[in-house]
Amino acid sequence: MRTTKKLYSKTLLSIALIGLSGVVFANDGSTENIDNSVSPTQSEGINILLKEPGGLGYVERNVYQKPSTDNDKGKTKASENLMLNQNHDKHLKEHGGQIFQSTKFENEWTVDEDGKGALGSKIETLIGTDENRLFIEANWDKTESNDPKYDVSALYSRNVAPFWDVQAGVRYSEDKNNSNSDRVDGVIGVLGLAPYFFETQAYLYGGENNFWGASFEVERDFLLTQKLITQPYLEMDAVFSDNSDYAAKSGLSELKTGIKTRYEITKRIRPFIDVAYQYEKGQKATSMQEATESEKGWKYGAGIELVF
Amino acid sequence: MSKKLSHVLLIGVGLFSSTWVMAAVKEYDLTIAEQTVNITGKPLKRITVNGKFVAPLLEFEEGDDAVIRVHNKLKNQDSSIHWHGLILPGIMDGVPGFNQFDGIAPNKTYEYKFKVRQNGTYWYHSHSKGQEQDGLYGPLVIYPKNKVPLTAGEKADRDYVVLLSDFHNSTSGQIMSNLKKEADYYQNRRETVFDVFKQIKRDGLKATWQDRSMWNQMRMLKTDMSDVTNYTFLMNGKTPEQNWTGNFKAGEKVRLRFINASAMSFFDVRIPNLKMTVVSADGQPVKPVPVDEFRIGTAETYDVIVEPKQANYQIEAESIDRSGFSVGTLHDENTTPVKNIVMPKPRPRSLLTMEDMGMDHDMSSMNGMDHDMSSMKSESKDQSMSGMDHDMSSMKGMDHDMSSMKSDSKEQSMPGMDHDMSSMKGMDHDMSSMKSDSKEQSMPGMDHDMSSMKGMDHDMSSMKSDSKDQSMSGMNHDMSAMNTNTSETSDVVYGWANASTPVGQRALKYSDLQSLNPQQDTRAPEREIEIRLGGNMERYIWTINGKKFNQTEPFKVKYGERIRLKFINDSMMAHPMHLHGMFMQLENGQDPSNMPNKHTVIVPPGKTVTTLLTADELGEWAIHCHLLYHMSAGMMNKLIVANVDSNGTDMKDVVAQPKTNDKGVNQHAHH
Repeated sequence: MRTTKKLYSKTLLSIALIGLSGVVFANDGSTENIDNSVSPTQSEGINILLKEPGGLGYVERNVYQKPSTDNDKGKTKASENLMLNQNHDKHLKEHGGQIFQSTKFENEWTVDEDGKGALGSKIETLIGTDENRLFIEANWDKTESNDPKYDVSALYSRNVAPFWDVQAGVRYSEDKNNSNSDRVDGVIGVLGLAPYFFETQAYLYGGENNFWGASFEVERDFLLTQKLITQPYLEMDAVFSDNSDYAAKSGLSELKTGIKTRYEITKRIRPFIDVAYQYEKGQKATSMQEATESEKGWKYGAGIELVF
Repeated sequence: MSKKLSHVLLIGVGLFSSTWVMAAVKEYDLTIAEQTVNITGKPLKRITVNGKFVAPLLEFEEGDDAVIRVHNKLKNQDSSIHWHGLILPGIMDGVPGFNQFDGIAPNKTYEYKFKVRQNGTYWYHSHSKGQEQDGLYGPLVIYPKNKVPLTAGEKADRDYVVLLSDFHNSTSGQIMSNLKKEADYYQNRRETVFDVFKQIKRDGLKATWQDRSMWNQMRMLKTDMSDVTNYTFLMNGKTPEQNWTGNFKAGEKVRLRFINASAMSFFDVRIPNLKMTVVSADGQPVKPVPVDEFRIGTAETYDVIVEPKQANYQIEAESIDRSGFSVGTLHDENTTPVKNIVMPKPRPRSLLTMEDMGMDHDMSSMNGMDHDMSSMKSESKDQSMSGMDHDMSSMKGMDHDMSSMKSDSKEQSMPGMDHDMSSMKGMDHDMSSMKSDSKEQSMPGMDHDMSSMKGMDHDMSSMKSDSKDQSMSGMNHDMSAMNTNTSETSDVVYGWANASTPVGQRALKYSDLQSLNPQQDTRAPEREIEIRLGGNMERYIWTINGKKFNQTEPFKVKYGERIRLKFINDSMMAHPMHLHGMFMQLENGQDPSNMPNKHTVIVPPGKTVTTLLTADELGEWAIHCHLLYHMSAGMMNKLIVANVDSNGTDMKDVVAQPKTNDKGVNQHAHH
């Protein structure tokens, strides 16, 4: 039972990932062109042209000087247009259609008021064109004397407004402290920059065992100097319903707010300190676990952020 | 006998014509390669042409047949060369993806062949990816036929190219990807919270909030004068320390051909204590304008004539974000040379806020002045007079009374009043009767009584009135040499020029430029093409009419058509807009026959600049922002000039092929 479930979720995840990558590159001109050039409809003219020394790049210049009979005039014309379009698209891509990536890696050590330590890592990457991107986020958290828990999200990110992307995809998560706790949820949400420079991420989740939840993150930079930057932030998690074995209590399940102050040694290397106040509502009573009380308290952290 | 004579004649004619033909062909071989160069003390791989960093000077005479064989020795990288400002057949223009030119593949040669139909100062650069930033740029000078000066005033004893450029330790690819990661990656002079506190202390919370909220809602930075910093500015490929030097003898006239070949930088150019006479703009002759300094946008060129008298002069080109200088020397060769240059003091940086929003009172460094603005008031309804910007950053010992300055306005009028008085010294300034009454988006009754100002430089360049299409319909007051009352709305379109020009000095304005030769075509435009320049600074996306080049449709123009290009800048940055293949006539307030030819026009932030164009060159012509990374991000389009049959159906099929094709100009790849 366990293996099948695991298999099921992993298959779902990989299918979703493949699907997503397909969507992301669907609008990629180069892929389309490759398809065109190998399609069976290609004319003989193009076959000849493709084989010419000098390669594709020089093909069209010869086209005009090529004497052609009336018969294959149409064909040559068609291939000509195809080639022109292909080359044209290639150059167009260099003026707004390029693929870029941005990746942020964060590692943070925190202690709570009782001196209990925790280690958290996070990696976030966006890759694609201005309009279509793949967004991958992974979190790994381990508190002292506990096993780690982690989650990985893969979302298709579509630019819909100047400062906003709509995202959709899946999240896979597992808590190693609880056997058989791995799960896959569908995710939909937005990522962007709200007025007044608020970096915002908001998501809705839905998945197995009638799970419905939401998360919301907002942060803003305040420059103390060009390199010393302080960043108040707010993170919220909510659970609307969850019938799984390791469910959290419904409602506002977690809230964390704090101030993270970083020093940008370079734009790419940014050590930081973090002071936050965190509230957790606790676990719900299920067949597998007892209910727990809510917890709240200060957290003190230090870490490093790398951008590449 | 007569037969013999005729033979001799024939041979003579043959010989003559052959030498004439031979003399008219000017050939160059350019080899593009990657090599290690050391400009800043750090060896870096950059692109060289014929082994030189900053490609060699190409010289032609008008009427020459140019033959330039370009050999691409780059590994795994296509290349191209575009002849910036030259009138030539489309396929020779060197823009990959245009006119069936597809770039030059590695280890291939492309032969550019064209008739040189003009004279003047131009340049050439790669049009492939970011190769221009990486070193593929050089000067190109075309002398008049037989080097006869166009006018007596242009007769010069010396002739120097002064090529300005910006060198970076990162490659163009790295810079672009950094900008795409974080658009403010290179912003190292942003405002901090302490700047906000200062503003609150100065202006009060409410005014500060009003100011800041506008910027915050737009999610833009006031300090974004240039997107990329940490440049080393070069003059003819030399750093200030290496000090490029042009020699002269006392009494000689020197022509300096300034070319802004930088990727991302504008410069304010001056030669302290030396008057410059501008005789050419963008390679095209203009009526002489004596100036003390001029602002040169990316890709523009200006030729000036100077008559140096001192032993030494320093040519200073300061980037407009004030991050550095390109410096060189003019030296009298009969005197002992000066080894080291004196690095000039940077001028104050202008914040964009003053130019475009006008909400900032920056009076941070005023010394010993008596300043009373106690009863300055603003009675307004409906967001009127939202911005009054007084930047008086470096005033010394002045008596300043604005006690009864007032402004009554209704309905969004007078959105920005900008008084930049940054470099006033020892002045008596009375604005006691300055008033402004205005209704409904106009400023009809603005009375500035500035009668008691003496020798001051008063730049009100960004006082503006936003009309319906957000264009600066003409409220730019550039009062650099004022003794007059200004109350009218000015008629110049161009107004963004706050270069902190010192008192009594004259800076070149676009409106000063007049074509030396009367324009042939003075027809009124048949239609207007609107070119809106926009961008999303947060994601580093730059657009024309809201679209990037990879998303857009080309502009289509009939051969021979007379059109107006209306550049409307909706963004917060200046864009040097460049049109290939044809010159535009800048509508700068001059009579149509006097309008200057330009291949690149600066469109200042929030302003509108219009040009006229006679579409007399067939082909596909690039029209783009010449800030390299703006172009790479998408701020580019294609302007197709085509013969159209009366039905005017599909223009793409009727784009005429360049004539040179028929004449057998060789376009094959050489191996």
